Amino acid sequence: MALVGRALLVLALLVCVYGIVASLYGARTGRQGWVDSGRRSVYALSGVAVIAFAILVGAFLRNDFSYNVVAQASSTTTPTAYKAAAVWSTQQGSLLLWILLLSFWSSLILFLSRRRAREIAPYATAILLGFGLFFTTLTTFFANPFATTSNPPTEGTGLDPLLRHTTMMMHPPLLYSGYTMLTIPFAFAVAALITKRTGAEWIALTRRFALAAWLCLGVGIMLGARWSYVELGWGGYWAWDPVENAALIPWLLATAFLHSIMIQEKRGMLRVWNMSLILATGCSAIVGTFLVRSGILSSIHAFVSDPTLNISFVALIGILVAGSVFLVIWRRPLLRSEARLDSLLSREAVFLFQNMVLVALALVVFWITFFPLISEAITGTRVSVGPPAFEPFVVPLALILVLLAGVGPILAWRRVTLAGLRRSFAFPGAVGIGALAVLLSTVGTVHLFAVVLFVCSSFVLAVVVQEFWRGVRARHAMAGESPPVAVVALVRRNRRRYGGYIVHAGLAVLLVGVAASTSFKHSRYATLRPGQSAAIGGYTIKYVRPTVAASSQRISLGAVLQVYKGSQRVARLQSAYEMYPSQDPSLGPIGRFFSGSTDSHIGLNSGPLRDIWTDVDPCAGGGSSSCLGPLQPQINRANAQMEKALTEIGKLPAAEQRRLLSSSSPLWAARNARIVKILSLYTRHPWPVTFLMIVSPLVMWLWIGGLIMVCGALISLRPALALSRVRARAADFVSSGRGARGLPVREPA
Amino acid sequence: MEFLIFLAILAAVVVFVTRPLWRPLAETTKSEPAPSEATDVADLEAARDAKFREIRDAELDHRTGKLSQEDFELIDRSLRAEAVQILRDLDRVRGAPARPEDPEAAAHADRIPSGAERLPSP
Repeated sequence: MALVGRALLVLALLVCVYGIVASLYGARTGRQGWVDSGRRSVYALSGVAVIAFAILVGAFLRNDFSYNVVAQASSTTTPTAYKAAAVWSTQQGSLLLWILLLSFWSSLILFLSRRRAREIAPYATAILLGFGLFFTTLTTFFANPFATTSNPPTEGTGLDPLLRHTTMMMHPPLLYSGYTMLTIPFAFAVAALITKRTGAEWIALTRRFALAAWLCLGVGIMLGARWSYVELGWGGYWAWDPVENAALIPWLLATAFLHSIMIQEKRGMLRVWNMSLILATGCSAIVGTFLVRSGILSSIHAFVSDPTLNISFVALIGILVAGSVFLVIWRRPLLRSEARLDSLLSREAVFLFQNMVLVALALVVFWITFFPLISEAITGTRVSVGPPAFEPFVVPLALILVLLAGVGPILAWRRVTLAGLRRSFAFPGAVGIGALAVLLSTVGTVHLFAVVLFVCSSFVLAVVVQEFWRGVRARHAMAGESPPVAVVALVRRNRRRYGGYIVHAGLAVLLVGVAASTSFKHSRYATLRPGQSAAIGGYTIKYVRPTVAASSQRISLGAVLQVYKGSQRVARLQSAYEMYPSQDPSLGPIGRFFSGSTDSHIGLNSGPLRDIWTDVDPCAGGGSSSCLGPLQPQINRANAQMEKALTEIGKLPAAEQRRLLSSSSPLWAARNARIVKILSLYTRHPWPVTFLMIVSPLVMWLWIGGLIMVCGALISLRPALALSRVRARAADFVSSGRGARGLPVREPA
Repeated sequence: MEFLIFLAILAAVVVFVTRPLWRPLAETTKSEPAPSEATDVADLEAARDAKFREIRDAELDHRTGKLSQEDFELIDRSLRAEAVQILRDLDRVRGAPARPEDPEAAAHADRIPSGAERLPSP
């Protein structure tokens, strides 16, 4: 089926070319048939991509190592679920996934807008297919996932052990969904500029996609953080890695866009800003994709550098940026604001300020992330940057942002009187001051960042509680509803507003987790023998006994630990150092099982107040230059014996060789028994091993905050029904000829 | 076999994509409004929906104590006047009879007796 796959890629490429031509021709001549045909090209691209992707997944699932990508990223021992996920662990497969998601989301928006945006849609179709053409060209000519070999290996290299985690199965598709969905408002914005249709329609059509993209990127980032925390063996969740930052930049810009677009919708203001923002967001999505693909910046997530791909991406980004700047300048007269700020004490003024902070944050992250490349281009020396380079800029901006997340909801649109402001600030302000007093008396000023962030977060939470309380009280006064019914009705009827408030509350909770877990974290390395203990953060962690495990996928050396608070046992933890077999024959038939990729199985006891996190490294305490020093002599001896046996078998007739080397041969059972015997040395004669131990408070609230944000975003995503009802009723009023009765009617006081 | 599979997919794609071109030209132009007119209507409808939302938001702000009575009346009057203007523009684009020109009537559009179902409110 590889041939069909390759042919489908060519077909996808032709469909893109045809669709672009048909859409543009239809738009220029006004012939709807060609426009419809162009739109159908996107649906067809989606169908072709689904079939091609299914063929590739099928090859992974049936271990077809004649496909180069399958041999690179899968093996017979890789669990089935991870075999499917291994598709996007390769450069080629992930590019195909990009095409699949791009065509799927593009089909969705074009289907939803098939009877609307008649002038904009054909150009948007052409731009979306332009992205499709770029990626299909890459997969067809430079990174073909259907490339095969005539001499396939009997076993694949296997999926990188670090990627064998549930979150990693969902993280890339979510990030790619975010990136691809951001191309939709980008395409419609460009089309609106080309057609001079810069009114409200393109925003109404694509706002929900921008929000969905924001949600997908946010969830993807959170899953990546969780993966880092439980899989990477360093105990952190954010390392300012270039690829992490590549997802954060469009997320920050999309956050700014989602807020500022409300100002345009309501007041007709900030048109140039919004247009520039969404174009920058679209460009940053492609930059993010480029960073992952190119490997130009050192990252654990990046693929291997490919000069052809890099040049293609740089050319695309150059065209996108130059084209965007040109279009905004060209159409600037059409983007004049319809109104001015009535007052600095208004929600739109806070949104504007918040937008500037978000864009500044995105620029800071972008500049520092790319600083190694910039410094190399200027001085010839690549400077490496880490978290300390980000913190002096990001921390103050983040604090302002949290504060604004509380101030924004308090203020009304257009203007607020000072009396109203005092009323609105009284409760949240008191909560913030109360929190400050409590924190200063307990924590002091040593951890100033954490104290300020706690105060800001409590202010935001108080604002959200107050907003809900006021809304419920209004509904109770108006309709006599009980508080629970009033809350549900309030949210249902104002999903966008209250969904947004819930997102703000989630952000506050998340940042409480971040502030506490970074400022009050206890971390230490301890080299222990069984029975020995180490103290950390008020706990005593005892190394009880070593453990070993062997399966067809991996072997592991681990440790059982008991955690005590005083004399009371609070948790039992199990960490392990896992080794996956290498396919390198030079390591020996036994040695290759101890010399492949490795990962950590961390011991974690998580609670609402604190996490206790441990990782074991049996190598560091081995007392030898070799990682598994104490086991090495046994491994060498077993290698020699096994090689001798294999050499003897090689001298036998071919039929006898096949029998002795078949999978059911006792030779392999003997090999496995020998591996287990070598492993047992670790439990019979345990050597000192090194543990990384971390006690962090409130980490769980980081994940809970993220979940709250997701809930808020999902609520905001749903106004479709309510809005369609509004629209239907309004249309009904208008068509019934009852004049201005289409306006919302005031409720009785 | 592989060739046949691809041929089937290719044929399906070609038929599916080019199908709109088989329709007579008159069929597409007769039933649907001109793009420019349709886009005007869509733009105005989007603006109308946004204005309705803004009116409801102002009312919610008032009910939750963020807007004083005076501010609310001022803002609400101006929003409703803007909404009436959008509705008039919509009528004009659609070719329907014009709405009342009297600004006083527009400003008090909310007081028109209504037996109809109300739009979502706070």
